[in-house]
Amino acid sequence: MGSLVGQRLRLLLGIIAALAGLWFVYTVRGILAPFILAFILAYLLTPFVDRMEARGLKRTPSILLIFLFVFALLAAVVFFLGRTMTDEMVDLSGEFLREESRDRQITITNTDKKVHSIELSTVSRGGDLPFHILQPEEGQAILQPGGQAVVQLRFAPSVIAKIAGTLQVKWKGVIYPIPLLGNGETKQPEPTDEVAWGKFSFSSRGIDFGTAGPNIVSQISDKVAEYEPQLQSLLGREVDLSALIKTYGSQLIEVLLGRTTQLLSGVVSGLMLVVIVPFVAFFFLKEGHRLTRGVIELVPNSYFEMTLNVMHSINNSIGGYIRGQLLAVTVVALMSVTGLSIIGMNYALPVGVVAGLANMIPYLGPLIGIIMASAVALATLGGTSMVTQVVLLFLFIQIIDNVLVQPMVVAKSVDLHPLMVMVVVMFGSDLWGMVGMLVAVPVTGILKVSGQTIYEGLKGYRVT
Amino acid sequence: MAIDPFWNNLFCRRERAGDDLYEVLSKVPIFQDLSRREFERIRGILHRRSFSVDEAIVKEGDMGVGMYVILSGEVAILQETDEGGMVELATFGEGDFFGDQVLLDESARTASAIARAQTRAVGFFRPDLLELIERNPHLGLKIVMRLSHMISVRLRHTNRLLKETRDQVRRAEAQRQAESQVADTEAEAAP
Repeated sequence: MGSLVGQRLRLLLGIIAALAGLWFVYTVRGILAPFILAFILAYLLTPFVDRMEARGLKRTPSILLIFLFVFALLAAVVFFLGRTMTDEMVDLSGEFLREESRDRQITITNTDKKVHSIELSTVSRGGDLPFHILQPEEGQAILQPGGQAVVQLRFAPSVIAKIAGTLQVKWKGVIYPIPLLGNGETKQPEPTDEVAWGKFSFSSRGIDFGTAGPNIVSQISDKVAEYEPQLQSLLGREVDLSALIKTYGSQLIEVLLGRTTQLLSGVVSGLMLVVIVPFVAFFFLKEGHRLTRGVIELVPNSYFEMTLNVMHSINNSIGGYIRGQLLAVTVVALMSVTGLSIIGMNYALPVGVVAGLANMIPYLGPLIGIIMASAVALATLGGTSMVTQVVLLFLFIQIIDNVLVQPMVVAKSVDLHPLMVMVVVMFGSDLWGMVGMLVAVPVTGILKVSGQTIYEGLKGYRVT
Repeated sequence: MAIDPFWNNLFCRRERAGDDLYEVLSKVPIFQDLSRREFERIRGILHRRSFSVDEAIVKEGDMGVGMYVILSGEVAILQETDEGGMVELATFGEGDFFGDQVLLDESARTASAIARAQTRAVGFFRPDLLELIERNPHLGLKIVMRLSHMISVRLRHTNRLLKETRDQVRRAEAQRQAESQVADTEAEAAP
């Protein structure tokens, strides 16, 4: 009886400890990212360090040498690809986060004591007239002495392009140009300065549309709107699909990118990553054995051998899992980048890399890759033939991945239930945005591998 | 000390001195021909454990993970009989070791080891040995060679015992047959 109460008490304490642990992890989640990265890095490098140690080198110099090699490799990657990658990344996130408001206005004041009439028109250097005058509607205004006219302009390019133009104000046969700058223009006017011309004064010298322009979501929703009549006849009822895409799409992007930027800019700044991750990884590599030994020493005699054995198996499983995943990510990313470059896609590098990373997420990952690449194809080149090529390419990569890569690299299959994947991905995105989504599945995979190993280990010991 | 010859420690030198880990372990055949420097590397993967009176160090039937070397105290090796009782096979003291076979293959313990007095022991376990082989193959190989040597000596010893037993059985059989023949002829001779 006493032992039963003791067992229950121990179970209760165990549950309390587990909950406290989870709460602690949740509380410190902000500073957890570099530690998780360091943990993963240490697991990746352990076999190399062990091999160098086997050649007769001491452990510390082995670790330092390998760190040097890894840093050199990273530096080379940054040097050769980093510039393109970051530029394209910034451009691409610009496409996603582009400001939706495309309307600007300028006020024209009549400084004379007579009534004057002016004519307004726009000229676009791009040729397809992305600037529209919304107000005054007829393109004409009559200004009383001291009176004002508000000119409203809309910038609506079909694609993002470096288009500039002019707003032309015609008075008594003379034309005054007000420069209009498109979203890709580098030369900035001083829009706040007032400028006087003839009998008029303008509230600004020029109009800068800056980041204004349709973002990918609204472009896709515009595309959908084109096909909406056919769709509606197909579905047989009224569906405002384009409006739905617009609302939910921008919300989704806001959540994903917003949180990620929060995480990246806030807690894990670049410096922290560069300093803390190698430091912690070095510690794991150097003192990892002593750390696990310290934990094992605390285990009571009756569970000692079992714990030792199970910890060793977990160590092997996690190492295999992490190394396998990294290899799979690398292979898929390489295939995607190469494939996308061959079919002539814009932003092949960031899209391919993200597709490779997303591939870690079972079921959802490949889908995310295809959808993202298609969205970028649609938004940047506007062709459905490119989308078809992208989809075919990703299907081909998926076949290769599932038939050749996965069975070879992922030694212990970690089959996560689709529902489980959904839940942890949502949880991850809520914590850390896109980074959280990517990290959630491997972390769950590690936990599952550990759980499986513990279960199999315990079966040999009549504890269960 | 040992009652069962199989548990008779063939490999232990009898002179014992000092409490120093090196002093004790250098007499254990597995670690016998290690230099002081190599021994220092081994020390990092050994686990020191203490056991109170009547506490089980290993239990018969459990998965075995490694061997123990007794630093101080007394340990009884017990085996369950078919009838459910316990039979004591040997009593070990300082410098003795047991469980070395499971270092080579993952198998269940064939006997239990129970501390008879407050006991201190160092454990040397298979996962650590495997890791040692990976990180320092030269040293790992030295230990594995020693282990194989011990097992081969023990096998030879067992074979000799087996042969002796077989001979005894054969002799007894022959004697029984001779006796029964004598009895038969006596029975036939009887009127």
